[in-house]
Amino acid sequence: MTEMIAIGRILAPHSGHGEVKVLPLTDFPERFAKLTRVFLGDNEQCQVERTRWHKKCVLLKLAGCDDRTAAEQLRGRLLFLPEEELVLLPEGQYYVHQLIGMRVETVAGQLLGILSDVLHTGANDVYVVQGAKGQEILVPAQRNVVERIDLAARVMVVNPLPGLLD
Amino acid sequence: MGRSLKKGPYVDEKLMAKIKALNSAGEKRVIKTWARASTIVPEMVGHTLAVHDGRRHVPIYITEEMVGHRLGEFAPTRYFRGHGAHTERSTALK
Repeated sequence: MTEMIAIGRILAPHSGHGEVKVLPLTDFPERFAKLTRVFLGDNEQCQVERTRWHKKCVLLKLAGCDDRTAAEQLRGRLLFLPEEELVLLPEGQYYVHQLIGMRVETVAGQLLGILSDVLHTGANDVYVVQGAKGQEILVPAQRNVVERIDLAARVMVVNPLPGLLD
Repeated sequence: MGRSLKKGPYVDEKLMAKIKALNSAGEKRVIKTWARASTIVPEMVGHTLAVHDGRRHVPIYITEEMVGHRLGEFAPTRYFRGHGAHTERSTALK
């Protein structure tokens, strides 16, 4: 079954005409301008009638949602798209959900643990690796540290800098 | 109100001594630091500093654009934990 990926979260109704205010959960918010349909759950498909920007949010008019009462019912819901419709990323860039759960090994073949989270720090991203004994190892997302990411084999090979694993 | 120009930027002395030692030896290793208030100076560029965020040390690679900022700006003390679903957020190697 196709995995569904959230692209936004409905925050609140906006105006009395059934528009909803959506917080984008995507690195590509420009995709909302071309959006023709979204999923409100696994199967609940909804046509998008129009979109416009308001401050840092998107105002979305969904078909069948014509008044404020109907829009209020959607508060807190996530907007999904199938995984096939994700924007293709350039080399060296990965979706966070593709990396989470990946095995992380050193170039010497030593298992460090399972990648559990990605921290966005404002500088380089940082991969949180959960070790077998419950310890956390933080690996900077640098080309000289991360040697290889194999999405098919679900393995990340790292070359830790001296002092990184202390 | 800004810091007095007479004093110059605040740079943690112990950290700076370690950076200078690495620079003179031409070595690269991760340095753990608690000095979040320390200003980033050009000598630090190219090093990876593990800055304490209150719980753990976050490894930060120092680049030229970060000079003049404080180390703590790049090691947030709290993170938004997400919406419980896979999102279209990406990460890139730098």
